[in-house]
Amino acid sequence: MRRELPIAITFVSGILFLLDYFVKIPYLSEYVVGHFLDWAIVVAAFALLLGAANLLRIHVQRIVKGKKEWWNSLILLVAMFVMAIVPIIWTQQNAVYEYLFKHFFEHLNGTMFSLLAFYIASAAYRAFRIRTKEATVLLIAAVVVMLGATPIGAAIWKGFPQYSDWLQTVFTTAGMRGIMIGASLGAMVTALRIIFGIDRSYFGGQ
Amino acid sequence: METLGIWIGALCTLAIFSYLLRENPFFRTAEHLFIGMAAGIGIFYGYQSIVTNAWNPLFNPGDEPRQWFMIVPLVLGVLLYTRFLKKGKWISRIPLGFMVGVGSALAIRGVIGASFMNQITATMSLPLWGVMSKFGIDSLLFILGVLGTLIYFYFSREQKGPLKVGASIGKWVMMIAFGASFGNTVMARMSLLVGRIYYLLGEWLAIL
Repeated sequence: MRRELPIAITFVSGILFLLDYFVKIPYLSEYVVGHFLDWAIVVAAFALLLGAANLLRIHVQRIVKGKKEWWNSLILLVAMFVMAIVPIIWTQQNAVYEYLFKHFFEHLNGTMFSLLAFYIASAAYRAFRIRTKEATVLLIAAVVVMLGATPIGAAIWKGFPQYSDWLQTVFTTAGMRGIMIGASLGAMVTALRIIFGIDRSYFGGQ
Repeated sequence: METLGIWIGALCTLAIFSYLLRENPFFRTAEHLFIGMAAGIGIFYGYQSIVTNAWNPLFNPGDEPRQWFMIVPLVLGVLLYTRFLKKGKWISRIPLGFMVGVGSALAIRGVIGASFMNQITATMSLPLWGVMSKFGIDSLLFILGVLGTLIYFYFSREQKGPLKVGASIGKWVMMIAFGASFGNTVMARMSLLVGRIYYLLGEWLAIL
């Protein structure tokens, strides 16, 4: 019962939602399966709140036990509550939320992702140090695209922007399309394995 | 208040950049602040999604007909929290099973058209000559690139003879594709970095 019921629900919901794409089943399609996506969105929202509940549990424990740098957990919880409660009570268009979003979140978010510029540069150095023909081709393509996207590239040689466009239109699109076709086959097979209960790893390997 | 905001933004930026030297307490504080705020924003959107999609259609329908079926996702959502119970933990797998079932079917519905059939028909309908005319044979190169990439990932037969040639073409096309994608990613990150430096030197220190 504990194992079979969730697998049966996965099968029934998955197969009905998939069939609905190809054939419309009278009554069932309109009144039940037609709502499946809305239902899944709502359940996913509950799952999101479950994640927040877990975060709350872990950080409350850290504060109560007075673990190392417990004040960071306090900062996390205060930030979480303020950013959640303020828009719920006063909507997102209120001055407090906008101020916090503009002066805290935007800067933290932007800087966190800009950090990757440094790590991507060091990753590039390590990748290109492997002196193979493949790495050389990868390096040349990357350099052409980078120079093509900057004014200094066009100043060095007018061909850089054109060849950058050409590389991306022909080779990047072709390579990515091939990968996408293969990956979609893989995604479909994996999804079917899940629907038919062959792959149950999403239950935590039980 | 605006000046205070600029100082806050600058201090947050410097605290995160301090990680480049080594991990330190300022970075950890900024990191916790960032995660807390992001989680808070996530909670708000989750709450909004529940209210808009389920709560209001069921309890506050207004002029619209009441949607009784919306009791189902609300019950399923609440059942997710049984994972905190010792004996009833398994019940949380019921809504999980529903989400995974619908999600898997949705994945098939999504990729079967846009990522699979449409990509194949778009490649097959390309004329071999004349389009994407950098060198006149660009569409031929394009088709060879797609086929080569597909052959590279074909492992059901040993790659020798024509399959080996195809796989080799695929490998070189992918190397160029990865290089170009890498270049684009570097440029995107660089523009973010330039934005942060411009903020520090311009809005905060007013040097620029």
